[in-house]
Amino acid sequence: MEPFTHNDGNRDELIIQQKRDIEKEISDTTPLISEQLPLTCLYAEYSGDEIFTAKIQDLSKKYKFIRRTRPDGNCFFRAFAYSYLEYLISNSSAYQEFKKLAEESKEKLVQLGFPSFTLEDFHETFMEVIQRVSPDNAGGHSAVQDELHKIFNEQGYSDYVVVYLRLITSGKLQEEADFYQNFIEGDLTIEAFRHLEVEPMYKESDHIHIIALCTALGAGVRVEYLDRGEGGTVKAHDFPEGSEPRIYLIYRPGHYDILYPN
Amino acid sequence: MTTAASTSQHATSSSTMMAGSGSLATSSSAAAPTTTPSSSAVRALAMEYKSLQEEPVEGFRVKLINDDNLFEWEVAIFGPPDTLYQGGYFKAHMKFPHDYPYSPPSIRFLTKVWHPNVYENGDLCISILHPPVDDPQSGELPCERWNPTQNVRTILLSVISLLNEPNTFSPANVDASVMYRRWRDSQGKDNEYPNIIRKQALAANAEAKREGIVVPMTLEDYCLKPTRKPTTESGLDANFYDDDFDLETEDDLPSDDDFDEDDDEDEDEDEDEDSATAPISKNIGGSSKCKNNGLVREAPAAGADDAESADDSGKGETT
Repeated sequence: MEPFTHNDGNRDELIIQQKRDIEKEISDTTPLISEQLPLTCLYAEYSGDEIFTAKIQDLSKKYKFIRRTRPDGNCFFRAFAYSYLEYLISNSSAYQEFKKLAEESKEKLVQLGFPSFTLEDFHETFMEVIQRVSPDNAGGHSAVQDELHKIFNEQGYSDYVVVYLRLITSGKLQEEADFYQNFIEGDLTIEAFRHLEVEPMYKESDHIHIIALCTALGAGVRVEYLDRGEGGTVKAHDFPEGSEPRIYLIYRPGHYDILYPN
Repeated sequence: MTTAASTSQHATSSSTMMAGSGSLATSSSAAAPTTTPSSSAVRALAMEYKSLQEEPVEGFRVKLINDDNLFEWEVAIFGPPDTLYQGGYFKAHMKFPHDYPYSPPSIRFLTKVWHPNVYENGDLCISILHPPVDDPQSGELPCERWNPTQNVRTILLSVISLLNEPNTFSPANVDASVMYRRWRDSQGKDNEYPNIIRKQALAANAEAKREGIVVPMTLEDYCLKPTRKPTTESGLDANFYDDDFDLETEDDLPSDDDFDEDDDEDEDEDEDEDSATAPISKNIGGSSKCKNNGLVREAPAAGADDAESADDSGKGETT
């Protein structure tokens, strides 16, 4: 009945080590956020696969470019942040609104019980990133765009942004626990779900993460689903439902990348 | 950089601490972090180490094993007074992974510790230090898992409360766990467990003496700290105690802002806060925090927790 023995401890260690090795291999070969690539580059990944080829064709009617994110379990959060900031760079009033929201978010999280000493650090970095991609910064749009790309490929900054978005997501789940409890399969409590599936780095995102984050930040996301489902066309879903999308993502089982509409 | 100034007003913990962390954070980010994965780790560890030197967690001392390596710390834990561990002086090594704070550190006791959650080799098994892998079998409450906002301070507070309230769902030392439960379930009659612990604490105390270290034996000494500023970083009771700390900060550092509000609150609060006894009431505040951390527990909850013992009676799963 006792579930833990000495060997379990060692085995955990080994599994964790192996996971780290895999992560290292991925991080050595894939940038956190890639350059913009033509959407047609997807064909190469699925050559000979009729279903996917047809769907990519369908997708290419609506989107010209894709920007890949590193598949490290943080892809949704990183793609979301990058794509939204890219939108905000060219929308000054939305940028100001978002900045205010971000500024105020810390207090809320402290109230929800996150240790303020460390939270402070993540929040400060988050605000610094936002400041560095202000539409009013010197050099104009293209300089700010370059800055964004540079920041998001610096692991320190990029991961701190991911952490902070995870905390905002977790905070939203807590805040509206009654509502979000309905989305959770099994008998996990919201509390447990937040700590196991949302707050830790590298944990993949599900619909519930997306809905909570979009709602918390008031940012509409359209996700295009490229999978083996029938119909030959790519199905899109907007979060929150009925909102106007600012962020466009492509989902392939297990992974999110950024899309650019025509 | 402007954010450092504006956020420090929010001061949920002490204001000097905020200022400290703020300046450090800005200076390091101005120095443009390198792209190595461990840049966040170095930054976070430097910040935490500095903060713990300035404001130690009561009952703990931390230092670097090797001055130029932030990733390995030596931790000394003083056994909390009025517990089985009283007088004890327990040394441990804390090792941080290169992707800290995304993954948790590990703790290994160097001093012998007979405890349900400490392996024979000294490795401490506590849920807050477990990476978030899926192991629903472990029987741990998921609310205690690692996330990047956890830090050395929250870990040490968890360790202190684990010492006195072992987790018998997932014992690392099954013999110790069985013995502990026998003690608890017999309401203290079977005293093999407390005897071993007291013996270990005594031995550790002798060791401390050899090293010339004075182990605090009373709650007052235990909670009294060189820098006089106990801080609770661990969420829940932070607000409650911050009032006490601000009061104290006011005496020490007449420089800061919003104390008027605090004063009003203090008046409403309780009788201990008379101005004449302020330095003492500080300690009372500290000691009642100890209680909250489960420190003041001589007897094994002497059957008080029927629910708790019932919990152990066979249902091995949590969820």
